[in-house]
Amino acid sequence: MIQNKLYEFMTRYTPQREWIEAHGMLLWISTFFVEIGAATFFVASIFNNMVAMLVGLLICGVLGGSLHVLELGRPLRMWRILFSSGLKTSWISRGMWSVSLFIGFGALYLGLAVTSVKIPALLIAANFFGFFSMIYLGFLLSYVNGIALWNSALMPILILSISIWGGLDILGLTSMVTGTVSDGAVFLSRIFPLIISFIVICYLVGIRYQGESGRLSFNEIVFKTGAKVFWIGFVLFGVVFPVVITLVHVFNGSMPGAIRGILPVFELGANLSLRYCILKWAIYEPIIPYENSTTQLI
Amino acid sequence: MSDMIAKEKEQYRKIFGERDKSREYWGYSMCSLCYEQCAIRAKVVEGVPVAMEGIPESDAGARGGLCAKGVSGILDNLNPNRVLYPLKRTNPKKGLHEDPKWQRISWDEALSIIAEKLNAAKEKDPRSVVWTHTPGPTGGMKCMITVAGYFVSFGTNSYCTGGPGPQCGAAAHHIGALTNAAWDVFPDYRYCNYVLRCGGNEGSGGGRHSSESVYMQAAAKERGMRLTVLDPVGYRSGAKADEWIPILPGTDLAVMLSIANQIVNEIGVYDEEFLRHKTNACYLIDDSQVYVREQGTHKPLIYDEADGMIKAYDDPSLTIPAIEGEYSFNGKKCRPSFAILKEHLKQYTPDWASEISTIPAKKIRQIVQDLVTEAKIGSTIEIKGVKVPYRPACVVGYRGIQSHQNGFHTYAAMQQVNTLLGNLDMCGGLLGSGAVRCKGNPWTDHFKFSPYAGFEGMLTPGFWHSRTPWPPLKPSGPGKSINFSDIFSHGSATRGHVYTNEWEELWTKAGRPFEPEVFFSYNGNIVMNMHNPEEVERFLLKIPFAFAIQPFNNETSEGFCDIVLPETQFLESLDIASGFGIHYCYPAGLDDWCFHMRMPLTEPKGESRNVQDILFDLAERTHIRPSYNTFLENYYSLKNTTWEQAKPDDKKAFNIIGPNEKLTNIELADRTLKYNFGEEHGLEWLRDNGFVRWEKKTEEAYWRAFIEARSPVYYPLLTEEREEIAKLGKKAGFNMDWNHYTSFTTYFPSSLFTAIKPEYDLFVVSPHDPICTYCSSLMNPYIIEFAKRDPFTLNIIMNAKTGKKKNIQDGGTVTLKNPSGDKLTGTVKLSNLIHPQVIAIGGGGGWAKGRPLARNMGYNSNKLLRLNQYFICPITGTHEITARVKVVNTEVSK
Amino acid sequence: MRWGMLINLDKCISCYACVAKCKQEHFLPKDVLWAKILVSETGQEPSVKKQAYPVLCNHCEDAICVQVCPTGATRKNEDGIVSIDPDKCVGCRSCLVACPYQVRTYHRKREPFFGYQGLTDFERIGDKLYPLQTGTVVKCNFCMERVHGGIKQGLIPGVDVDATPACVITCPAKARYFGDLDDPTSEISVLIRKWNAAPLRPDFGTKPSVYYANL
Ligand SMILES: Nc1nc2c(c(=O)[nH]1)N[C@H]1C(S)=C(S)[C@@H](COP(=O)(O)OP(=O)(O)OC[C@H]3O[C@@H](n4cnc5c(=O)[nH]c(N)nc54)[C@H](O)[C@@H]3O)O[C@H]1N2
Ligand SMILES: Nc1nc2c(c(=O)[nH]1)N[C@H]1C(S)=C(S)[C@@H](COP(=O)(O)OP(=O)(O)OC[C@H]3O[C@@H](n4cnc5c(=O)[nH]c(N)nc54)[C@H](O)[C@@H]3O)O[C@H]1N2
Ligand code: SF4
Ligand code: SF4
Ligand code: SF4
Ligand code: SF4
Ligand code: SF4
Ligand SMILES: [Mo]
Repeated sequence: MIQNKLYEFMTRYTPQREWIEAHGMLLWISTFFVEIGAATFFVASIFNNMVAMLVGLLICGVLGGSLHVLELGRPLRMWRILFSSGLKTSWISRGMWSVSLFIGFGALYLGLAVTSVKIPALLIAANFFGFFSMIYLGFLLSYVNGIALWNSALMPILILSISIWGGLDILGLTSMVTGTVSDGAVFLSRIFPLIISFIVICYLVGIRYQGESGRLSFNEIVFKTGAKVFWIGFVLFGVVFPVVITLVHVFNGSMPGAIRGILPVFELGANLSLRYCILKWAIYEPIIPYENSTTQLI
Repeated sequence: MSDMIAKEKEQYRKIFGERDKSREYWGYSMCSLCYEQCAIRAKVVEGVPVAMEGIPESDAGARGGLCAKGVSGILDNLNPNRVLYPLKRTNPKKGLHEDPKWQRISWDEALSIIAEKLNAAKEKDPRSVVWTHTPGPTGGMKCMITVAGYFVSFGTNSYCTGGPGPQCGAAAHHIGALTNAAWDVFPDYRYCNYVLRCGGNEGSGGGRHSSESVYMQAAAKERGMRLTVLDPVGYRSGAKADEWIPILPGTDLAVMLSIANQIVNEIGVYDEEFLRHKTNACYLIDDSQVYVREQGTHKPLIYDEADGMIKAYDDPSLTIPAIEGEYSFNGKKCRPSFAILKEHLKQYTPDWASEISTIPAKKIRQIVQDLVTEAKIGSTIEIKGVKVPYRPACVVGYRGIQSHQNGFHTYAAMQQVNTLLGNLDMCGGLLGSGAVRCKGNPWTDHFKFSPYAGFEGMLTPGFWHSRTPWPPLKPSGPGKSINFSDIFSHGSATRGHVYTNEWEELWTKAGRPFEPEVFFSYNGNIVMNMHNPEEVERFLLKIPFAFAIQPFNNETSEGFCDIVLPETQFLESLDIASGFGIHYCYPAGLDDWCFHMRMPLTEPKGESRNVQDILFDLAERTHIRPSYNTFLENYYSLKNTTWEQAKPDDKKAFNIIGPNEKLTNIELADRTLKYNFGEEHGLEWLRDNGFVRWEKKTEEAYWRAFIEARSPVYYPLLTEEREEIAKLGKKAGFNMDWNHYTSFTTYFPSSLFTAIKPEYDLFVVSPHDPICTYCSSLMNPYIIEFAKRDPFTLNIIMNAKTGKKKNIQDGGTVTLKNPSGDKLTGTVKLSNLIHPQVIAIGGGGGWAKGRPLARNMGYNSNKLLRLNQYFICPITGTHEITARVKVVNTEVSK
Repeated sequence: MRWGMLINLDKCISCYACVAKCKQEHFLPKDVLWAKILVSETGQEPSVKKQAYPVLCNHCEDAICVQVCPTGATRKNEDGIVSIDPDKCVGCRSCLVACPYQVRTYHRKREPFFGYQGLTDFERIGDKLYPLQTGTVVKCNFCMERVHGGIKQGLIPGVDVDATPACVITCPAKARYFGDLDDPTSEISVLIRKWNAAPLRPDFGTKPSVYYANL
């Protein structure tokens, strides 16, 4: 039974609220931007699309970073996250460092690159920290042993992969604008929905058997309150449409620009939806002895 | 500000001024949020109370512990809705939900208006002044002494508390006086090994000695005491019991009678010695079931087995009173009452009781075994070097068991079981709570009281407030008392009749010698606390003038009062009464005497005043100062504490206050302290030392063995006065089941079962909640936070299986309907911790402007109660507080 | 030296006195509770049982909250007390989210007890005597001030009132005990063994310092 009354708090399976309700929404959005920004930079650097790299940098730094700071209760103290003992153990401070360094090196690289001095070391450094910027939330969540939905070894990989997925979409969009489409990237983003669905399936099936709270989260996401967001938001827009459209495209050649443009948008929406599910239907286990039998009657 | 307040403030400062100047200090006082009156000390910083604690060094209260209500009391003190100035109603329209449109007036104006009304009423007939009060918040003991004393002196017996009393302890207090010479009874947790609790929550945050009993029960359980609880509800006392046995409301009488039957007729182990020497089991009665009496002296008689002679009950040569056998006196056959009781009880078998109560017969048998075995009948124990009987088992209950239409017989039957076990005021048994016997304070040898053998050798309290419990006054009237306590002379003087729809008719038949002219309420909330508010409204609307003294407005004062006088909230008040009562002011059992008193922690806010000062003024203005002073003199010097007071007499020497002296509250307190504890132990001393402590003697805690007096297994006056009471009652249009007036505890089903259609298949009970003092605490922001976080405080609790049958969802909404068509709608909590046929609803559902936070907190189950003579105990006036309802509508939760 | 608490559930009557006293002791604003009672029920007739578990911060030995805190605001003191330095806290709430026992509260903004009727003197003086910072996370600190202050006065926590947590001294049932878990002879250690008390959900692996008898 899932808690829905104040007096059931932690005596039943209790949903996580702090990081998705009200003010907490910011965390959902900000981490999305931080991660896909870093991812965009990364994939763009592979298909060396300078513009997309810049876009990624901006999304991560300007959108992600600022929202991330605003999300804090005491934004002005944010420097403490960087300069304190926290770094030793805290994925948040590791994350913050990664993001800052990623932006630093990334900006430096691009800055020099426009003056056509490309220093690979900087790029590697940027992507190295970008990698952590993409994955730190995954580690943080996988750390929380009160929540089965999060406490999973797959969590970092899931977060990482959806970040890259989002990165590819941003790359796709920017290259449409700049008209510098690279087949490799297109190909990647076409098959990525399949990779994602594979990981998501493994992840959710794993969760389903991660004890009662895992089962409950799974049910909420797949069958109950989360079903709309999951099936329409993620599956339909993020997997079905892209796959179908891609197949159509494979058989009858060209794909109209409109559709090519809308797909990444769909996928980004799907990306956000999936992240929403992960935060919204995270459920704490009751901390007092709990039998379902009692409540089944009730 | 008027000079009277100036004077009081000046007196206050004389004693507390210095202390108050320091930035931070601790002050001693007594909590007053329920009548347990725990000893407290509170920290005041910059004039603001910031911390409340118990006093570990005292035995009064939970040894440093407090309850949530007490701790939260600070926010009552600082509540912005407090009444700080005399208020006058400007909205001429009265009624539930009416806005009084208060207007601030001066003390002088307020008091002269009130005095004028009171004097006018006194002219017509003093009894036309009706008053209600409660020992609840702030009221404490003051209601029984300071306030009652005023109205007794005024000459009115129109004591109509309504909720307190009839919903509360009307039977328990009356019978408690006869069996234990005490206001109430309480297990001797120090030594008791087995408690059977029926319908009470003391020990789990409610009941008598609220917090103290929590401490004591927990300690006793750790020591190994076992607790069995008979209660429809399992989430209060039941939750702490070794076994919780759900019982159908109103059926304890059957269970108690069958227990007694098994003890005397099946197991045959009971305390013969006790019955012979400490009860009227040996008094001889004839076939018509009345005492056989000595010619001339009219004394009841006893057969002495020692010399085979029949003697007067008080014959000094009496050695072995017979409790069995058959004898003849002047040719008339007679037998000891016990012999007949034994046969009378035979009809009450466990299987019969099981049918009625829904408790399996084998459980009832088990309970009896446990009681009899654990009582260790015949054993003794040495306490502080004194050998006393040891009876470490008892049955105890309170509101739940007694507040039914068969309240007298139910509670008497419970006490009968204890009597058979011989545990009354014996070590480990059932003690009188509060103060029963004190051999005096060592400093002064004052502060003395002791129970004694009164009329016909029966036990009589030595310290008592309200009217003399024994012998009961002769039935009289009708028309002498607006609440018919003249006719119904057994039981406490408070009855709820006036607040019922049938009162008009009854009063007319009684001849209407006078009409209610003035209504006074002290810290009570009669609109919420008795039964359906509309019936209460009907009566209150009849009364031309109403006033109240209290620190807060509530549904009653806003709806009906013309004037409200601001009383100091308890953290600012000073009252000697708090320490001087027979409620729960003193540590129980063998715990030491600890005399505490309510003393102010800060100066009273606004123009709020202590009720004693207010009533001194009114006494002056209503020309009753001499009798009021005399009442206080007699009470505080313990000369005569009951309501039957002699005329004031200037010639008589006095100890504390003379008939015509003009004292203030503070002076009265100081003199009372000095008289009882010595010149050097006045108010200043108490302010600095907190409390007076001295050792309690074995002869005080376990006085029974040392006092020659008898408690009843047989109530002769009930049979003897049946005719008379029935006659008077019928005159006034009462048509009750007069058979209740019978000397032996007898089974009478509550009208709950005889007067209501079976379709009303659910029984509504309303337990007090550990975090609420009836419904008032729900105006406190702390309490509200806790209430919202507890499934059992604000919801309508229903049995889960029953809910399923009626497809009602947890968290859904139900509407309950009683036979009169009253409805109550609210949110359901399904639970397995409640009897399948029972619904539980705590107090709540307020609407007063003066209690904004309490608005719509919980539900007022009293809405579902309709009272009339058929739902009131014909003897004690206890109300049937269980409602019967059916579910008429349900909605699933969103 | 590791301070710990023991709660005997057999004695607890879920009266909320501890909850109230904790709130008063730290002038906690509306809807902020450091001590709570979790009330529920389990089983069915005849074996149905009311559950009432007083909960507070467990001051875990392996506290997740400490590990996830990016600023070191949440720290573990050498006496085992896990405390939050309000000046260091940035209000990221990862500690709150990470605590499997959910005993932390985000103090976003202060609401007056009497709503539109404004602050009481109690709340005002509280801002002076025990200010809480909005935008930070707060929780039970084992009455650090009482304990440490008491020790300075030579008092013994768990024995002397003024050195003992407020919730412990206020409990009318005397169901709560406080003392040094590292000292095998302390009352609390003895009772934990005697009643073989255990923490809630040891499987979380945080090694709580709050034990329960008759779980
Ligand atoms: N916390 C707190 N303590 C209080 C008070 C308060 O308001 N709050 N009020 C004080 C006052 S004024 C009083 S009078 C006392 C009252 O003290 P108690 O008598 O302990 O009052 P309740 O707590 O209502 O307990 C009554 C119990 O009887 C049960 N019951 C109902 N009907 C029956 C029945 O027919 N048979 C049996 N066996 N049980 C039944 C109810 O379920 C309930 O659990 O408490 C005092 N102490
Ligand atoms: N349904 C139902 N009805 C009941 C009962 C029940 O358990 N259930 N209990 C019955 C019993 S036993 C009794 S004795 C009566 C009690 O009934 P009452 O004593 O009338 O009701 P209370 O709500 O305890 O308090 C009455 C008033 O005390 C005033 N008050 C004075 N000083 C203070 C203060 O300092 N703080 C607070 N908070 N209020 C203060 C408030 O105005 C409050 O309205 O109710 C009876 N009626
Ligand atoms: S039990 Fe009654 S007197 Fe004692 S603290 Fe609680 S409310 Fe106050
Ligand atoms: S209970 Fe939670 S907050 Fe307290 S120390 Fe353990 S992990 Fe941290
Ligand atoms: S909210 Fe404060 S205490 Fe909690 S992790 Fe963030 S910085 Fe640390
Ligand atoms: S230890 Fe102190 S801070 Fe913690 S819950 Fe108890 S009273 Fe509150
Ligand atoms: S104060 Fe004691 S009895 Fe009351 S809830 Fe807290 S721990 Fe339980
Ligand atoms: Mo009562």
